[in-house]
Amino acid sequence: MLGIDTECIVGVMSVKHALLGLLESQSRHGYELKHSYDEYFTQDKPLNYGQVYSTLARLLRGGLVEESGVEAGAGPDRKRYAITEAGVTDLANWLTKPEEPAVYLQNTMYVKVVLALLSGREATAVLDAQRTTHLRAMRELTQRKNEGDLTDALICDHALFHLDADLRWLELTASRLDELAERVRAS
Amino acid sequence: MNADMAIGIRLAVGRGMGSRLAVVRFVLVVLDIGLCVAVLLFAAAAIDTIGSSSDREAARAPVLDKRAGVTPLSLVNISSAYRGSSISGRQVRGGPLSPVPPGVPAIPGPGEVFVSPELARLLDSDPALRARFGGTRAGLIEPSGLVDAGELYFYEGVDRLPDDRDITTAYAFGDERRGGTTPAEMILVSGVAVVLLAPLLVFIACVGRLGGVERDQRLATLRLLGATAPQVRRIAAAESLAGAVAGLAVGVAMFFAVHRRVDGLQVGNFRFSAADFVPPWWRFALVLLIVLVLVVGAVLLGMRSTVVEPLSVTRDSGAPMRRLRWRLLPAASGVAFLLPIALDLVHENKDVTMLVSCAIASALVAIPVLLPWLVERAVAPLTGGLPSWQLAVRRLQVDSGTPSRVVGGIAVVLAAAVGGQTIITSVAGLHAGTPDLSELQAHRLSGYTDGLYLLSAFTLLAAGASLLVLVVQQLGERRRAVAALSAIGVPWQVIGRSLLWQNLIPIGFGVLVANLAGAGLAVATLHVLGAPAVFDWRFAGAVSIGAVLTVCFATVLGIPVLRASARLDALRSE
Amino acid sequence: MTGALLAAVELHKSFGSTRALAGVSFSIAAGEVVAVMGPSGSGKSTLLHCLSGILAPDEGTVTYDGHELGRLPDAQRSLLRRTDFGFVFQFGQLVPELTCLENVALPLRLAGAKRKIAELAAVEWLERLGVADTARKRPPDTSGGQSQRVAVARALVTGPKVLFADEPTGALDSLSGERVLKAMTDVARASGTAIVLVTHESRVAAYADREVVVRDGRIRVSEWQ
Repeated sequence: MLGIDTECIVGVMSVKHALLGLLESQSRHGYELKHSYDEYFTQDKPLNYGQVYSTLARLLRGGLVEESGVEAGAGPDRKRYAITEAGVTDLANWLTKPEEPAVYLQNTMYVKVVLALLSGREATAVLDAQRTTHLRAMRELTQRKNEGDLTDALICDHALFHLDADLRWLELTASRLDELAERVRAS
Repeated sequence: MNADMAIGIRLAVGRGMGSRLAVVRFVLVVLDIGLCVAVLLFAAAAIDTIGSSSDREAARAPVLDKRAGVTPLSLVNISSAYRGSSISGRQVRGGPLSPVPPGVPAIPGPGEVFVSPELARLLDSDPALRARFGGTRAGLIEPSGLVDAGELYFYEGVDRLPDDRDITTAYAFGDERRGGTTPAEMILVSGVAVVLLAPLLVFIACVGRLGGVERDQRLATLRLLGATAPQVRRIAAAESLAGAVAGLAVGVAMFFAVHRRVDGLQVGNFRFSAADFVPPWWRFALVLLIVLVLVVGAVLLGMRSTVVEPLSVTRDSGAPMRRLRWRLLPAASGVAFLLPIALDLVHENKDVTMLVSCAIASALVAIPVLLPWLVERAVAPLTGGLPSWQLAVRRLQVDSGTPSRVVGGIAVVLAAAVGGQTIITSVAGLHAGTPDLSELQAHRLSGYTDGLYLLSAFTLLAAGASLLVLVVQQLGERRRAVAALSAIGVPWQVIGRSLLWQNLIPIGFGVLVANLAGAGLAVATLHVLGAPAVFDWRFAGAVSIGAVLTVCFATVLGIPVLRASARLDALRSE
Repeated sequence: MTGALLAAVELHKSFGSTRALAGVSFSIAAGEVVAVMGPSGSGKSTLLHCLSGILAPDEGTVTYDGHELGRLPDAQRSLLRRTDFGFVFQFGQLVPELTCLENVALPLRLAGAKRKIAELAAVEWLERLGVADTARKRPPDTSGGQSQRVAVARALVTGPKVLFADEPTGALDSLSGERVLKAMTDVARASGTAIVLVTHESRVAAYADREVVVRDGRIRVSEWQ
C-alpha cells in the first residue's frame, strides 16, 4: 500500500472543537462521541479512546463541557457529556474565525532541486521521481474517491487539489530548470 | 450508399430546423437559387423568342431576284404611329401566280385586309382606328407571319399602290440576306446569352457551396467517425442537392407565377406574350439539370481544394496565398481564341462567330477567377485607418474568397452589360450609316438594347440576393467573432461598417476590372466586325453605380442578422 | 512490447520548422487507460493524431493489432476509425445540425446500420452515460458537460478497442469534468476499451492506470504499474 496520510484530516488542535461540535446537538457518551467522530472525519485509522478521554478531560477543566449523568450498567465508562454555555460560545468563535491560509515558503522539494543543481546532479531526475510518486498517490486517491461516497469524495478531493498544486509547481520548475541552474551557479 | 444520401439530406434539413438564423439562411439560399433558376428559365425561353422572331422576320422578307413563271407581288411598306406604339403593314397587289406572304391564306383582294390578332383587338375597341382601315376583314394573320404575338401588323389588298412610295416587287418570301440574322447579330445574341447565363451560374455555384467552414468542419467530423472519402463526398453531394432541389422547385414555381403575369407586358419595343415564353421541355429540363450538376459540382470541387481530413476538427490551418498561374488560363484562352482572327487565318463567318463567342465567354470567366487573386494582392499591404476599415482589411487579408467570389459575379454582369451595350451602340451606329437598313432591323437592335437593360437588371437583382445570402452566411459563420467584438464593446455600427467595407473593397476592384474588361471585349469584338467602337460612358457609369448600390443594399439588409449575432448569447456554447 | 494493442516506435513529426515529435515510442495494452501528459505545445496531441492514423508520422511506425497504419489505404484507415477507434475532443466534435441521439447513432449509420437499430443502440449509450434526457436536443442546447458525455457515448457506441480522448474535460468546470471522466473511464473499463487520454492536468491523468509525460517532443517519464 502506498501510504499517504489522510487519516488525520482534523488536526490535533481541532479535535477539541470537533468534539464540542458533536456535543452541541445532543449530549453523548464517550464511546458515542468516538464513533460519530470516526464516521464523519476519519478515513483509515479511527480515533483512539485515550485521545477522546484526554480531550474530554481538558474540556471539562476549561468548563466547556459538563457531565450530565452516569448510567448504570457494565462497561468501563458510562458518563454522558453535555456542552456548556461557554462551550457553545467557544465553538461559535472557532467556526466563524477563518483558518490562516497555510503558506509553505520553505519546502523540501525546492531544497532538493537546488542541492541537485549545486552538486551537478540531474535535477530533472529529482523532479521526475517526485512527479511519479505524486501521480501515483493521486491515482490512488482518485480510485478511492470514485469507489466511496460523498464524504470520501470531498476528503479525497481536498488532498487531490493539494497534490495537484505540488505537481503544477513541479511542472513549472521543470520548465524553468535551465534558468534556475544559471542563477544557482552564478551565486 | 442510400444511408449516406439519407444522412446528407438529414444534415440539410437539420440546418433548416436549427436556430432561427439557420432557418433564415436556408430560406435565403432556396429563394436565391429559385430566383436564379427562374431567370435562367426565362432566358432559355427568350433565346428562342429572339431566334424565332428573327426567323419569322426573315420568312416574310421579300426576295427581289426575278424568278421565271412568277408574277411578282407589288407591295408598299406602311408604318404609322398609334398611341405610342407603331402599326405597320403592307399594301399589296398581285395576281393568282404571285407569291403569298407567310401567315395569310391568300393574297387579299382589293378592299380586303388581314390583320394581326392584336391589331384586330385594337380595331374592335377603337372606332376611330377602324375608320382609318376601311377594308373588310378577310381574316387574321397567323403567328408564323408575325415577329411577335403582340405585333400590330396588316396586309391590305389594293387596286392601285400609292405613287409616292417605293414599290417593292417580290418574287418570293424568305430572304436570308435582307431579313435573316446577320453574323453581327448572331454574335450579339450568343454573347448576350453567355453573358446572361455566366453570372447566374457563378451565383448558383457560390450559394450552393455555402457554409464552407461549417460544412468542412462537419464533414471532418464524419471523417473522424470513420466515413471514407467517397462516403463524405456522397453525403456532401446529397446535402447540397437538398437545397438545390428546393431551390429548383421555388424557381419553377416563380417562373410559372411570373409567366402568367407577363402576358402582354410591354418593355420598350418588346412585348411579352406568355405563349412565346415557354421553353421546349428539353431545354427546361436541361436548365434544371445544369443547376443540379453545378451545385453538386461546386460543392465537390470546393471539397477538393480543402481536403476534408479528420484533423480539421481540431485544427484549422490558414489558407495558402492564391496562385496566379492557373487563374490566368481563362484570360489567356480568351486571347488565344481571337488570335486566328487577328492573324487573318479564319474567313468563314460561322467560324469567326464561334471564335468570338468563345473569346467573350473566356474573358467573362476570367473576371471572377482573377478577382479574388487581385483583391488578395491589393489588400495585402493595407493597414491602419478607422477601426471598421481595419477590421475589414484584416478580414479580407485572412480570407477574401467569399466576398470577392460573388462580387466577381456582379463584375461579370457589369462587364457583359458594358461590353454588350458598347457593341450594340456601335453596331447600330454602323447600320445607321447604311441606307438599306430595314426598319425591322432597327427595331430588332433597339429590342436588344431593351433586353440587355432588362436582363442586366434581373441579373443584378439575383446578384444582390446572392450577396445577401453570403453576408448572412458569413455572419453566421463568424457569429462567435462578431459576438466577441461586441463583448469587448465594439458598437454594432462599427461592425456593420466593416462588413460594408469588406464588400465595397472587392466591388471597387470589380467595377474597375469589369469596365476595363467590358470595354476591351467590345473593342476586340468590334474590331473583328470591322466597326469603330462607340463607348456609352453614361451607361457604364449607371450600371457601375447600380452594382455598388446593389452591394450596399445587400449589406444593409444583412444588418438585422448582424445585430442578432452581436447579442452576447452567441458567445455561449457551440 | 508484447501484448501491446497499439504501439508506436520512434515517431518523428514536424510541421514546417516546428518539431512536434522527436522520437517518441509508446504502447498501450488492450483495456489499459494511459494518460499522455505534458505542457501545451509538447507534442502530446500530435502523438494522439499519429497513434490514431489521422496524421502520418514523418518517421517511425504505428502498429495496431498487427497492422502498420502507414501501410493501410485510406479506406482501411476509415474502417478502423469507424469500428475500432473512438474519439473525444475538447469540444466541437458533435454535429450541431443533428440531435444528440442522431449524433450518437451516426457512426453506426455510417457503418451501414438501419436507422431504427442505430438509434436504439444510441439510446442505450446515452443512458449509460446518464444523458438520456438530451436525446431529442441539439448539441448547442445542452450544457458543456452533457455534450461531452454525448460525445463519449458516440465514441463508444461502436464498441471500439481504443478510445482517443484529447483534453476531453478541457472546456469543463471541475465537477462536470470529473463526472465526464468517471463516466468515460467506468464505461470503457467495463467494456474493455483502452483509452489514450491526452491531458495537461494531473487530476485528469489520475484517472488513468499509468501515464507518460511528453516534453519537447520526447517521452520524459513513463511509469509502469
